[in-house]
Amino acid sequence: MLAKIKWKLSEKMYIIPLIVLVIWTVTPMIWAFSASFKTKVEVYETPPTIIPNLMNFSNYMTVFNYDHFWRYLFNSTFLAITSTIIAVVASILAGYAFARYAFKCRHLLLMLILIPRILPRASLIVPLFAGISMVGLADTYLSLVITYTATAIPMATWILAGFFKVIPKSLEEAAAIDGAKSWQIMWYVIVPMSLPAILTVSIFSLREAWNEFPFALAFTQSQEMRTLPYQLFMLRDSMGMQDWPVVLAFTIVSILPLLILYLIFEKRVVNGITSGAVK
Amino acid sequence: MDAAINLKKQKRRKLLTPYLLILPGFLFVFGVLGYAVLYGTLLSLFDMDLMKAETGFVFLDNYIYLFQNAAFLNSLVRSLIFVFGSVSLGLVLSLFFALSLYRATRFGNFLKGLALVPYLVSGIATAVMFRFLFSGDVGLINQVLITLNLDAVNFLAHPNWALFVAVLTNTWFIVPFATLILLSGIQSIDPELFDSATVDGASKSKVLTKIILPLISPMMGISLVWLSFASFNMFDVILPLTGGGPNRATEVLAVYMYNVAFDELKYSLGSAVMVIILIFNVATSALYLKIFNTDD
Amino acid sequence: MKKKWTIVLLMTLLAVIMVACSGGDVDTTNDNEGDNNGSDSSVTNDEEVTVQVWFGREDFIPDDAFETFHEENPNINVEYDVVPLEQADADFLRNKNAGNAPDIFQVFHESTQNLAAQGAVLNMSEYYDKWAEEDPDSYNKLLDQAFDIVSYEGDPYGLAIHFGPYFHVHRNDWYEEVGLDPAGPETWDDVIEHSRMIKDAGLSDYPYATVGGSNAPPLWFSSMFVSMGGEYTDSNAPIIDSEAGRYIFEWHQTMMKEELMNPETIAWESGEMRGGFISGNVAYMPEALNIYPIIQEELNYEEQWLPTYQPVRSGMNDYTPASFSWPMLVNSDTEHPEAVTEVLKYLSSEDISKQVALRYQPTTNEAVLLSDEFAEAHPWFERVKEGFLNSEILPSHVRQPEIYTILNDFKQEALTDLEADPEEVTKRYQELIDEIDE
Repeated sequence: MLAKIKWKLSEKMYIIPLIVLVIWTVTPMIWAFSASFKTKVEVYETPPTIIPNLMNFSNYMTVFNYDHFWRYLFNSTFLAITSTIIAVVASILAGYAFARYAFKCRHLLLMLILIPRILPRASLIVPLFAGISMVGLADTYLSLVITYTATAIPMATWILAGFFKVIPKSLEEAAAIDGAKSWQIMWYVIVPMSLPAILTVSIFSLREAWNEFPFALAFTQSQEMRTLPYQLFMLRDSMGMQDWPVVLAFTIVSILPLLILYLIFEKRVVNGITSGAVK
Repeated sequence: MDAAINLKKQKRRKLLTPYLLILPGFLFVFGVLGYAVLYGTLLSLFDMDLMKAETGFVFLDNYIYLFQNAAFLNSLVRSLIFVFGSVSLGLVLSLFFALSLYRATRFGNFLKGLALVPYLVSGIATAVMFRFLFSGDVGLINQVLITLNLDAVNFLAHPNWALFVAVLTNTWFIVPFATLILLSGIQSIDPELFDSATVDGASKSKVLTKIILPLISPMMGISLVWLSFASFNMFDVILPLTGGGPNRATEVLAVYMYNVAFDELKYSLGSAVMVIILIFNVATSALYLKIFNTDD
Repeated sequence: MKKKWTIVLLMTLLAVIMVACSGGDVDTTNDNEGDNNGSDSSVTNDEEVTVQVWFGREDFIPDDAFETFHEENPNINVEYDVVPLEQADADFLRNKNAGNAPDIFQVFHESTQNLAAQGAVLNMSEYYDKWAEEDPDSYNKLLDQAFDIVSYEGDPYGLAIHFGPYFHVHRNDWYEEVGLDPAGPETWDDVIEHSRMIKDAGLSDYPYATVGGSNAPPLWFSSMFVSMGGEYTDSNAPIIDSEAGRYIFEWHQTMMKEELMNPETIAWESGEMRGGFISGNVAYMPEALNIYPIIQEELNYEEQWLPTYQPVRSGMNDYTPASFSWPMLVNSDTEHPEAVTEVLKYLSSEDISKQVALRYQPTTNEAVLLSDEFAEAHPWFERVKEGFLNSEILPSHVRQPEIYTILNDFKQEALTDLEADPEEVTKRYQELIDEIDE
């Protein structure tokens, strides 16, 4: 009897880590989200209120009315989308080459492309800035698009190469027999087959560019060039006084767009990663 | 005759194609990042300092200076503690999460989706949220402690606590990706293996240690690499969270490098720190890959 | 097979085009570089010149966004941008190497010494002499500080248009409640003693607030050091191994030991210190004029809080308040020093600097400080006027960032190592400073 209960308990044990997982993941965000609706004073109340006394959107209005706020939003969006498109196109090409062709130094090159990934981004600032200003690209979108693209390609190439490899060759061969050209095979066979992986890679790359901070901090000066994370970092200094609700409202605003995008494609992204694409 | 030439041409094209395909990607990566690494390494052999007008070749002086400098050695030690803490906590959590996510039937997909959410939040935003969570007067943690009639802890003011909070914040930020990597490893195990093991009467812990862990060891290697690089390079999270303080307790290498290069404007010294971090990263990844033997 | 080549080419081309398109959106500031190079340095002719200005905060930009200036000087085109003070000096130097730094830029005053020493900024003496001669009226309205703050070895390298000394605010209503003279503490020993009384009376858990965090520069700490009689070497390095150095260390230890300061002080930046005072949780903080309007929003001036000079160390009579500033410096590569002078004249003029002073930071224009409007906007100015006008800039060393790192470590040790021997600690940190100051 006792043994049976024990057995049943252990059977259900996996629930506990799941509860921990939910609390662990959600707490910081819920707490920040709830506080973003509070007044400056309510934040200091004990015991804390999870649901604000009074839903007030004034903190969000403050954020939206910041000078240049919409510009920052545009910058982040524009940089993320542009660098993602370029990175994904380049990675599809490179990934296909690694998956389908046996060429010299293949393994070496595949390893080599990962090395820059393991560098702390912050440490690249100094040498990169020297180069960027040498070619006159300081304070431009181009400097950020190029560097964001470059940092997104290595992982994207790896993921896509891994995914392409498991696509049965027979499909391509069949298409080739039907007279399809290489580019047609790539476009009509490979790309549609690997949409989940391409989607995953795109979300990763969007995430990387959307959240990037050190490069934006170093390579841009003018206010119109700032991105959302950069402005969030600056917020502490320029306000003179800590206004937690407004800072948190800004934080939420900077997280939300990517989160919504992710929620739309969530299933495919998760499947993309867990199906073994990431190696 | 003609056909032979054509064939040769085709063959050459076929040989060239893969190189052409990888060219755009490699141009970006090596044009930008490769350049930065090479130039940074070169820079570390000079004494470029924006606060000084002239620059000269000093060979290894920057490195010698660093290894005799108390602040650098402190940040090296802090980094090792920070990385070790984040990696061990991160690996335990992600393994637990992955195993239970594998078992989860109801809400399984929802939970998997939720698990990845922190990965999408920027380091700065993570730091802001955690500072708010742990700060003395407004933080949830302390308010809960006070409500429970316990003493409040000044997490960010106490060196060890601050380092602990930094590890926790970092772990929150890096665990999701590691979890999903491990999950993918578990999912790829043939379910029949489990069944036959259970039929043979193997205990749960046996299944875990004898079947799951060995089979997912390549994935463990990859998530370890991810966890330790992300921690070694962590900068976005620590700068807004603690700024390296109190008393330099959370001044990890990347933050130290930032302070040297951007507050004191000693570019060469900063580059030397970069090279040291790079060497550490390459060494650790070689080590992990050796241990976990991820050949594919 | 030919198609394969074409597709590769096309895709590469696509990537290139997209890169190029994004380039189309590039900020225009770089394009204007060309205008500068082409034009002559004299302003007297009709040729249009462009002067680029970096402001360190948006609030420093004049309300009219240079409209009046452009009317008065049709041949000078001012372009401005905001580059945060925190990164302005580094960004300036990096851009200068690349040849596209602005003509005028705004920095924390500490950067002046180093930039002047390495010849990156322009000695403005000759242009200022001309200014004094041609337009003595506007020139004489400026306090000496306007030029002293940006001086290196006696010559000015820009213009300090805005500055402000550190004062001290306290809760006079609490002082009355515990039976103390509401005029506030006179010495730092008073602060300790009065803090105890305020804490015992249950008015505040941690009466004193200051900035202890490692991210913030030790400005508040340095102003405190000066008010405790702290002195500097000829090369502007603080002398910590001194009566004042030991006192400031011991004072922080005492305040922390008795929990008269928040145990979290070591993690505090200015926002937390100000938040503490404004939300009514603390009795004192060392703060400057620009914060008072924010205090006023929550607490009533004269009824609840008063500004005073910083207290002094017991035994001292008085001290000269230390100020800090965000001067405009001039790029040594500028091709239009005359036009630059006109811009500086405009920014420091009574009308323009008054706009900024009324809503943000006080100015070095004496006419503004003595105006009725200023007195109305800042009713508390009267109490600290004399100290304000006589204040001296916090000395800064050629290698100030490194000095700051040491001072921050020193400050944080005072907040954590409560049993340390001040004698030993100050000696140890003095050695570090001496290494830099040799």
